[in-house]
Amino acid sequence: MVFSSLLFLFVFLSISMGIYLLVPKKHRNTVLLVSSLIFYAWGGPRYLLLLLGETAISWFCALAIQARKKQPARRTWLVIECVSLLGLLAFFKYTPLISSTIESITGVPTEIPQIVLPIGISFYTFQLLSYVIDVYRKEVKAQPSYWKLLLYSSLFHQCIAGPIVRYKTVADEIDNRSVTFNDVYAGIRRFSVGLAKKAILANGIAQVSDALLSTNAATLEATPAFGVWVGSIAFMLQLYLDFSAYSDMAIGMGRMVGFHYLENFNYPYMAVTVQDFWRRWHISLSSFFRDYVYIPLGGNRVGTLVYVRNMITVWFLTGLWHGASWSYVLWGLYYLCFLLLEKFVIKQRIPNGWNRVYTLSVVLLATVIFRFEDFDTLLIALRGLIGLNAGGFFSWSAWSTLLSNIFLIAACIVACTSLSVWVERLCAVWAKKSTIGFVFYSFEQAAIPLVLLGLSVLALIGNAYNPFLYFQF
Amino acid sequence: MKNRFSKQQRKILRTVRLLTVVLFCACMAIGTVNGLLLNLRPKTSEIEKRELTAFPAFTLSSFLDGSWFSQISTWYSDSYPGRDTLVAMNNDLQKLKGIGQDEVIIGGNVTADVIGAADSLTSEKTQDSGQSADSQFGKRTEAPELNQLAADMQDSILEGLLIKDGAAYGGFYFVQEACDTYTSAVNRAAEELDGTTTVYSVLAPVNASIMLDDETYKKLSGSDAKQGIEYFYSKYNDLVKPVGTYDILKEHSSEPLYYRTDHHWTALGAYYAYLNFCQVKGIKPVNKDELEKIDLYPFTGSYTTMVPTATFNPDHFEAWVPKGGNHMKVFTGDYGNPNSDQYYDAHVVETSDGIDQNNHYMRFIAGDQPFIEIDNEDINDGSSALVISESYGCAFVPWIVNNYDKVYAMDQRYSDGNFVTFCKENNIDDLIIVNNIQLANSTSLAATIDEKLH
Repeated sequence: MVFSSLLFLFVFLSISMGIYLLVPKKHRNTVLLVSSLIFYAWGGPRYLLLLLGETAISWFCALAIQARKKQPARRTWLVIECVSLLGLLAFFKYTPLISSTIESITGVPTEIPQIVLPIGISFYTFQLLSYVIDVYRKEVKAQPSYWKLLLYSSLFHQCIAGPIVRYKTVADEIDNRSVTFNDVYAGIRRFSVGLAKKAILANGIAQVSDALLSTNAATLEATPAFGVWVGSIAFMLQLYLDFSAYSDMAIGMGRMVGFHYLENFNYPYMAVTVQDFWRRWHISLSSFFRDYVYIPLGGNRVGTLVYVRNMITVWFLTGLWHGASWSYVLWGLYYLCFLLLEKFVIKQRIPNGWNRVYTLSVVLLATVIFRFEDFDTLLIALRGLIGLNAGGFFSWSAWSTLLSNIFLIAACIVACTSLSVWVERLCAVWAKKSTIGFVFYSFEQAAIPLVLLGLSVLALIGNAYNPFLYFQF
Repeated sequence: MKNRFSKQQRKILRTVRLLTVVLFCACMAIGTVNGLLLNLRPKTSEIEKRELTAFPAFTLSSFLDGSWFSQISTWYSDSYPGRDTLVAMNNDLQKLKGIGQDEVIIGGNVTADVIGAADSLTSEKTQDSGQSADSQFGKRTEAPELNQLAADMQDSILEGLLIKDGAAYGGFYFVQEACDTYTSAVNRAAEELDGTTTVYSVLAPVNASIMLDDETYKKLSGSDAKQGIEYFYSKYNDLVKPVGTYDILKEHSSEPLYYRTDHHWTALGAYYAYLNFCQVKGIKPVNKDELEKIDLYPFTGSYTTMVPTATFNPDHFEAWVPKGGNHMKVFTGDYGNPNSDQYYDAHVVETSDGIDQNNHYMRFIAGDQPFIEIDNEDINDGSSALVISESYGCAFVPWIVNNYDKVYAMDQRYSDGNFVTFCKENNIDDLIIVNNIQLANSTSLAATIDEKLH
């Protein structure tokens, strides 16, 4: 089940929230847990066993670590946790990649095993790892209740698409959380913004990127350079809006019930360097790798060669985490190159203004790499960007696609900036100064969540139409 | 400057936000209750002209792998009560996405095969690595499933579409493989029916090739439709009688031969093809001015839902009622058996009210039907014809009703059985195969006709 579906909105969310509010406080965790398990099982009940199993391993290992005083014993249980969870992740996510890579080198196995990726495994595996490591580091106490740990790992707000919530962020709130009226309003508003970002903007702009940056090699070959550029920009916008929308909805739903998740995005396309970009993009993942891989390896307080090794490790893993394909590793290493360039060559030499152009250009090319799992198609896209495809440089089709989506593209660009935050602040300042301003501000406060919900529902119903299901004429 | 809200302002804001939370919850509750009204869930969509997703059947495997749940999600959204109204509202909103233009090209990122290249040494493409006009939905060497066929056909229609001055124009992208399959199937049928049934082929040009000037047609980057039809016809053996359509339609291109809002030709367009058919067959065509005519306005056809963001000028829907009766049998089962009692009565041209403005094209022979029979009460000479076609045949059939004792029509997509066998068993005089050139040119439809003309 995805957040941006009518079934989620009008069946799952409304009913689970209704029951949550009706039951006594002491049963609310139970309601959340049952809801989360139903939510997860909706994507395939058999994979629920994996979630339950990984949580059981982590629960047991954390308690075992906490119970032991001696470091070697504690480390043994930590190793058991890491090997178990990373082994399961490797098996379910990377077996086809490993097999096909071995096959391409040795010729065996002749048949690549096809394993369905359990939903959210990358997210909840990392959450549980962070929990056990934090227990090992004595940063948090182990959760004695399996069910509460299961609530943490399975909570439907963030279980399948992040953000990667640290246990210490929500440890207290699992047992003791209070919901203020402001929390509910802020949660609803944030959820509506996320829903609109996904249903209206991301889904809308996806049509442009699908048309002009097609993953079909032959279609891409026939797309002119102008179209490939527009498609690439559209995909760059889509990627942020889609992903951050899920984080917005997760943060909003958490807020409605008293959980305060950390921000996962901070207007990454406003970054002035690639390093700055990664401080703003998928923050929960970057901080995971920083805290559990990069710093334990020595971070930057080491010699140049070790630093480069640390960076290669982190960015190889970052790429691999995003998908079981070497193209994602390439994508990670591409970013690594620019981070090293910034560290050792570019430094702060790019003038203001141009540094944004530089960063956006690097990120744009990275999104093109991210788009294609197949290297041959990626090459077609890269050739397309410089007009070396069969499509040439320009076509009326690409031009008309741009014009017929120009306001949507503009809206997406605005949504990628902090302009709305500035406008909100200005409105608040105006509201404090004048009555008209206050009336306007009050109206805005009331209208935004409702209007966005209404428009999103319309967009979701419109998108539910699948023209290829049946065609009568 | 004040830097804090006053106590009263904070109170008002709190009330406003409380009201927002209440209204938000109310909206969610209304949406939930509406979704639970199972008896109000629509089964078909008028606006999209399709059957909506049905509730999925339960199987253990689909339950365990999650596909059953996924299908429930689709069913829930697809048949949500009031969806047509909501979809129409969303379509209106979609128009705000960009600048309305006089000309919009949809698709067109295809590279057609070179017409006739197969007859030289090799089958070359116009571009070394360009996309074949049929490749984006895969080459089909076997007849596809019905839904897949429908999907492929829509893909084919949308392969290249120019929207200009409130009308949509579809392009033609030649596919050698489909042409070979189609023409060899027709040739084979003609050989098998030699001496008993005469085979006619009517290939209708795409509307862009007729209604647009050459310069504008080139914007679709497609193939030359006239050359394409002639090439198809050149592949036929002597037993197949090709009916020319391009020249006569081009000659009358100032008339409404195709709809602006629909991907079909009009009754008038089909009439000109019918005139040429009569010439090839050597019979006298009916004078349309002697027939009863209906003219309905507005007609907003399939393009308006295929491209909801475009603005269209509605069409007039014109139809002429055939002489000798306007009655026909629509068989609901036991297709291919004219003696079956599984049928209902309908009209060759439906003149009554009760069909909405989006569906007027279904007034011709009750839409796309697997098998119909029309008995002309004025002709009792035993002459008979079988028309096999996709929906382009619907507008054509009412014309030939005027010239035969019995006319049968089968939609090649939905009909079971074998057309050749049917002709033999029922002593059919003429087998008339009517297709739009772009659809005949899709490997899906070609594979279907290949299968059913054995």
